[in-house]
Amino acid sequence: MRLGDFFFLSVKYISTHKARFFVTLTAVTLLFTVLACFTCAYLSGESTFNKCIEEDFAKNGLVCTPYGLDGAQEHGLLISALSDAFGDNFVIRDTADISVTGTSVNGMDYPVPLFYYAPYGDIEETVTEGEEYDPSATGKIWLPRLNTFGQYELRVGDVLPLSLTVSGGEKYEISPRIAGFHSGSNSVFISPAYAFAEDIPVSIPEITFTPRELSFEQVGEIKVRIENIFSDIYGDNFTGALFSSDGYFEEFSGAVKTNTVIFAIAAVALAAFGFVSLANSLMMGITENSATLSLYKTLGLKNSGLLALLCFEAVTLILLSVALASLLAFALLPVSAYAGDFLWGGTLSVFGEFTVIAPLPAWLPFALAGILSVAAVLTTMIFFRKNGKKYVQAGLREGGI
Amino acid sequence: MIKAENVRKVYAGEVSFLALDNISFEIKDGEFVGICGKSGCGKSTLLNLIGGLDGITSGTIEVQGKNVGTMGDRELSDFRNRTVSFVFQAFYLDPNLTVSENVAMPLLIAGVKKKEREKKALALLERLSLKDKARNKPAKLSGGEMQRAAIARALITDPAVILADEPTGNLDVKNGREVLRLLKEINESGTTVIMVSHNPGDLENCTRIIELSDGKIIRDEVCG
Repeated sequence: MRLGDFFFLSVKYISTHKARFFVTLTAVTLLFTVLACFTCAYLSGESTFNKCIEEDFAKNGLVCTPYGLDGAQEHGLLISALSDAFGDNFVIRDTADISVTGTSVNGMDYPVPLFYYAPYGDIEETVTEGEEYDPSATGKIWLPRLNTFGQYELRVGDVLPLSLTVSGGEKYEISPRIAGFHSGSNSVFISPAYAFAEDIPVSIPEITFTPRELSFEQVGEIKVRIENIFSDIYGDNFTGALFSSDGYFEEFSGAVKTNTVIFAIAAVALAAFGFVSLANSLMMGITENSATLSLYKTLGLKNSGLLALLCFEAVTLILLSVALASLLAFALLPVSAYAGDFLWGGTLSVFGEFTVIAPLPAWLPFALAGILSVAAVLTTMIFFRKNGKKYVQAGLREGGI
Repeated sequence: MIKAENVRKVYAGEVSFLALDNISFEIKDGEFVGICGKSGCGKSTLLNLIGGLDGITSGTIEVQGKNVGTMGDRELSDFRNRTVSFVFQAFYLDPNLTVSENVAMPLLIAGVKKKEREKKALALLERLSLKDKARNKPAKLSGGEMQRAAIARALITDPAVILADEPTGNLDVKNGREVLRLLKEINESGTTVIMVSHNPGDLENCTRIIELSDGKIIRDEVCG
């Protein structure tokens, strides 16, 4: 049979039971859509994280991160995220001379500045030079310990009203924005660019930061605040978070694991439903349309030809449902920017002692659809090989032979 | 030539059923053979075995020198496509295809180009006075027209043998006679026709009648 004629015959064969075909198509499409949306939600965390980095860089030349740079270096996560955002050859400048990418970054011409402020001292305490760093050499500003801020809900980008006292007793009111938080030490990062932009004659280390006009809503302990930050960045059901056996993030691991298990169960269940739905439909096709199949057979169509018709139907169902599910999933995405991640989503892996709960790759629903397709076709083939003769004979009788 | 030797057919099941019991016969090319007998005597089973639609339990059936029982799927499919054609009581037209597409279906399966098969289908439909119905779906045809379309489909591959199973069973007398006339005409052009019927009146045109009873041949006589 010629290829074009095969398609013609296949379409005609499907049209003999179009109602069931469309019911199956709808069911499988809905299953795939839910599966795709699951994946989208799962991936949105990383997507947002990268978006945050890109936006901050574009606005301020500043990269903010919920992780400290040392933590980022240690975890490797930030490197991965930055690499996603800026390409593989980006350079991070850090005043602590931390080599992030394996490249020593001090003195590079086009750095991506990332500032990290370690907690030090208490509120209203005059900051003195730290032991680990030489601020005058690095330009690093030491921010006092901000545990008190833990009583307030702070977010990246919030203005943090501070008084800055420099040597000589001059006092300045500055309003830097929060560039990030150090999750391990519960401290706040601000960019010195905000301070320097006001032409404050900062003479490190003789400066004092004092909170003023704090008007943030009190929400509880700092631990809660950090949870909120993660929630803001990753969404309420964020994944892709780090957790360690001894670190702060451990408290998140239960939820993350639960989500992962739920996702896995849901994915397997949906795939199973899809498979059963599809295979059942195809097998029903063989039994219900046995008269049509036997007609084709009496006219000289080979068993392989009959099988090809059934497989064509299976593959058509799969391809159509995946395509429709993709469209629906995209339509359901609240933020179009996530679509890229939906299609090409990142795959984080394991970094050192920290395990990243990897956002499942975006192609997962499509891979599942592919596996489903092959499985359904194989099942149909086995079913046809085993029972085809019986049904074709039944079809002959049904046809009045 | 069709040669059957000691053909047995047993339908297995909870209670096995002997449909054909060691029957043997020969049908020469160009014969018009009528197979008759009471319901359940094995007429349709015999036709299905000759056409390779069902397997033989024991014995052999040779059609045009080829043993139908030993053919593989590919050979059997070619055999059904080119050597034999079926005409069924219930017409068995695909309701989703037009009349001309139905008629051309065996050529489509054989891989003949669309233009060529359309041309041949239309020529046959014209011969059977159905050309004006070529673009219609079978549902818009009368019973007689549907059977004529089915006969056109059976003829399109120029088969050596036409196997007709109660071809007038669903037709009124007038249309039944027309179908019988057509089959006679086809036989006179050189095609072997084997027709099953329970109606003795349908067998008037046959050159030979084989009567079955309980799976055995009880009469095999040349007519006229």
